[in-house]
Amino acid sequence: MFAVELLILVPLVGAALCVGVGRLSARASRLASLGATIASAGVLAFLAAEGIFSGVALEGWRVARDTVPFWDLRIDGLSAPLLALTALTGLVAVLASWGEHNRSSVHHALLLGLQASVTGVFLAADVVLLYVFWEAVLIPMYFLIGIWGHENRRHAAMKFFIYTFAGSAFMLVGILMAVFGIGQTDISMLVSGRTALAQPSLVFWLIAIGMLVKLPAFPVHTWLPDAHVEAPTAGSILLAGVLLKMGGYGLLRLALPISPGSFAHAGIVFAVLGIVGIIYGAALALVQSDLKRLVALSSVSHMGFVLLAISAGTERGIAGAMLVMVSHGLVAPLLFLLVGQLYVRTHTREISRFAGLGVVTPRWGSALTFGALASLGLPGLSGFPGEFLSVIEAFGAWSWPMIPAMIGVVIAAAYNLRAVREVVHGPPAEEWRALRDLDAGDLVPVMLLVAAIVVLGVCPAIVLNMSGDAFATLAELIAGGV
Amino acid sequence: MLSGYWHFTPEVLVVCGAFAALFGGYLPGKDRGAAYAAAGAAALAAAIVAFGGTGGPIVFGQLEPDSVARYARTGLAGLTAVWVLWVAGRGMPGERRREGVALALFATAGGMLLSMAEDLIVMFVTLELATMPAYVLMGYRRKDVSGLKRALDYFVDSILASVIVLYGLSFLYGISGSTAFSGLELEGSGMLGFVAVMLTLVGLFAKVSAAPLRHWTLDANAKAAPVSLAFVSTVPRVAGIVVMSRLILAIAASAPAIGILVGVAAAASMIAGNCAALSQGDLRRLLICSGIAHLGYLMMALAAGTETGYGAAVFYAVAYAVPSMGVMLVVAEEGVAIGDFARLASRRPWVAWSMVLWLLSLIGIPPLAGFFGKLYLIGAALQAELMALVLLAILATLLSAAYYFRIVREMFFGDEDEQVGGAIEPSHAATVALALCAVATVAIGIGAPRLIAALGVRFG
Amino acid sequence: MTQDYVALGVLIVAGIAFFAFAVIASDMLGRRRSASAEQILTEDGTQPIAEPPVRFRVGYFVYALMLLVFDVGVVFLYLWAVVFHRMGAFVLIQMVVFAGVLVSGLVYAWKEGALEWR
Repeated sequence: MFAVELLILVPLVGAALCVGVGRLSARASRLASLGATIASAGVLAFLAAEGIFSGVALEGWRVARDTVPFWDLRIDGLSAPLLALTALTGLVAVLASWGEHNRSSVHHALLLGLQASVTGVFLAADVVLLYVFWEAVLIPMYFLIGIWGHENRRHAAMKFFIYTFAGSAFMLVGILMAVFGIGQTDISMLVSGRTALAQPSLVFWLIAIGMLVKLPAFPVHTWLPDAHVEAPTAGSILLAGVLLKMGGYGLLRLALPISPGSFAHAGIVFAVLGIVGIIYGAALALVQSDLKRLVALSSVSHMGFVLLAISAGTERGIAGAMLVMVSHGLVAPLLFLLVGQLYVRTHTREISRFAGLGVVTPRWGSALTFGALASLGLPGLSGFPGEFLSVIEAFGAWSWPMIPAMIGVVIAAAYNLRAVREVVHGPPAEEWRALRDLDAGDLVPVMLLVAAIVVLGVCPAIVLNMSGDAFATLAELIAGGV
Repeated sequence: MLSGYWHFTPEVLVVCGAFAALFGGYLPGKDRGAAYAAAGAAALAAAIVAFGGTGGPIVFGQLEPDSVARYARTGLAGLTAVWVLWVAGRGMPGERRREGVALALFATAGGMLLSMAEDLIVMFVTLELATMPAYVLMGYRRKDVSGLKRALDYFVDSILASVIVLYGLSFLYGISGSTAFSGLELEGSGMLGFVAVMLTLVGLFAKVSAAPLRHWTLDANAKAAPVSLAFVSTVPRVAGIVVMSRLILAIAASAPAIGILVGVAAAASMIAGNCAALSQGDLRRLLICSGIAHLGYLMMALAAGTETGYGAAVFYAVAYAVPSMGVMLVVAEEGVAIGDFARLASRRPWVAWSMVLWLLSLIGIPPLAGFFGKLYLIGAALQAELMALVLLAILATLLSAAYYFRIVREMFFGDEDEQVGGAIEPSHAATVALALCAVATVAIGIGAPRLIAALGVRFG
Repeated sequence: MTQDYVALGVLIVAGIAFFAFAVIASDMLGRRRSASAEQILTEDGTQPIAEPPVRFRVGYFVYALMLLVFDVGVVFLYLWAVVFHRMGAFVLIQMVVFAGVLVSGLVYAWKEGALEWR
């Protein structure tokens, strides 16, 4: 079905259009990029109407073309929610960089290129194609950080690139071992032919390393705070919104299905890494003086929950992982967006320099409070169901050693509420008396995310309905071992 | 008698192009026009090879225009066409064009014959034809004394390598009693066979600048004009790699030790090339060092000693040469110091993005030529279970990202005040040449699965 | 048979020894230079002290080269003449092409003024 391919092609064409009309006016290229993101959201809506969002793992809708090598796309339960997330955050990112004046046509073209590559990762049914898109994601992100980032951008861009490139290099070896061991490049054929693999555990860990760096899991997370802090707002939104999800997606799509037997020892490792990530990320977020770095480190903590949920290996555990990923893909972009909007007005992100913004800029203040509440996992908002499921399932699988994860939840409340208290509450600082509040244009992306957070919080079944079968199939694979 | 001779049409065309360049220039003011004619001849030759058929052995089995040769010859003629086109637009530094162009085309004709060679004698003669013009190109600036000194070094060292190869070939002939590749038989030749293989390979490695005799390339090339380097480090080298791969495949079956020899040289090239490239500030040196590393990746596949490895190596030879030609030509335009590239993105955005494309291909980022090249190399090595070499190649690739990205960083995020380069005269021919390199880098990547299948490589 | 290998071994050992001797001896006896190797014109260890007093005329080498080219050409012509009557028109064309290439080289040298004694 051609519409599936349009999901990748529309942003790409939009990117070319951006550069093309960028010579005429910056406004034209902004409109072109907005049009492309809306169009790709429209394509997704059309596909949803076709009932494409109810696949079974490793089956689902497929589009393959013999004329283009390795071109094999698939939408199934695992990819559907993330595709929707990508379309939404892509739109938000374009809206968030509406005021970018430095070479704005290239900026928007790179955003669209990034969206196309991430969509490609989630769509690829062929492991080579998946790797192609996986690497393609790096390039626009590198330039987004390097050109439009803040003071220390060169260092951050390089660090981002080296870390993730190193991770994916290991992943490539794993993928190649699987491809040449089994003699297939199709992911579902790889999975069904996995018994031919000589060293499944080695393949699993090589692939998993790439995913863990991307996620990022505890010992290899250090690129994330730098990249996030230095990236421009739109870059941070896409980085937190969808790039990190590639890690969790890859684990569920590739690593575990190819070698489910490795879960026997990988599960406990994931659980430990997850818990350490939750507590470590939260503890670091608690003591940050930079608002953006605080949000960035909270991402490390949230991604710990993803790993923890996967480590349970059950159907509900995997569902929890997906819910945490989608929820974080909404909440973190909201917070980055708000921090970005504040930075544009004040040119600082120091928490200690702010106070009482709830009085000066009530709309911004309420939005931040909302985001913080969503981030700490308030029931009724999107963060709660996923984290709840992941802790419950992990407790079911590993019992009392999971208690520390609860400490992480408590610290999450602490750092989020601290940020709100210091920035929003209290007597307003003299310095920012005249601060402009969010105008209508600023509010559009904010309200989009807020609405999505509420909907997902009230009705997590949206995601679970899309993906339930996929989770069941995966859980069966894991339970079956080998 | 004449059957099969039509296979030489492209070579004849290239030689005619060389003569046209040499003598067409005597008409007043035709130095540039002659270069265009030569570029056209090379391009036409590439097209003829690409769309012409393949065939069995010709000329008493001494040459074989098979599918591998077709791919290599297309690449060689195409690269030369691009280079000559660029030279037609921008000229050779400080000298007139016609000799440089003619020499390049002679070398190309030699290289195209070399990539069809199935016989030790033909191989040696064409190897000389492919590399000798390089000596002149390396010292093309007659008034640059230090460059001439280096060119002399290059000449002497390359001749030394030739002599070593020849010595090895004489042993090979002596052992197997045949000069045909298909007749080489080293079974049971013991120590003597090892010495023969060792001499031949060490000489060939030196010719294509792989470890262990690679350091002289670095010294000799470091002062040459970048435009000469753009040719010398691509076209004759690709031809050398192709014939080296052929020879290794021909003797791998009866001399298992060759796998170890090539494997060790591959590892040494990867390590030495990448480590040396890390600290270079002169882009010529950086690219030459990284070229040694790329040869290391390539030899990793040859170490497998299989048809798959052979096809993958030949594929990578061109997949590497195309982006490296592009980068070197831009170096010839912008300057050899890394600082010359500061803020290139704001001065010449299209060139800067093309550079990014080439550098990404050299690193091996999909879906460009270099990625698929490395994919097949690693695949061939994995099939032969050379796990250690594969891991080394991956680590080496990581390292290479660091130094290639230094250039990207300079082009995009460099300091404004570092900007030294003046405005470059626009030249349509040079622009077209660079654009061709960029398009080819993408096209080889996208067409890779089909090209590699045409080369007879089967995975799985 | 084994003796051959002994001889080969001796040759290799002698070769390595000679190489080692040359390197070590020059390291011990040679003068150390502080200048960066990049800057020096010659790398054989001697610093040029002055311009050489006599300028050698090297123009003659062009004639030597031209002579060599035609000498080699004649060698091929002899072989060709021996088999010519058996091979027919094809080899005639071949030799015409070969001679033509050589002549065009001469034409080029002539045009470039290489044949004028300066």
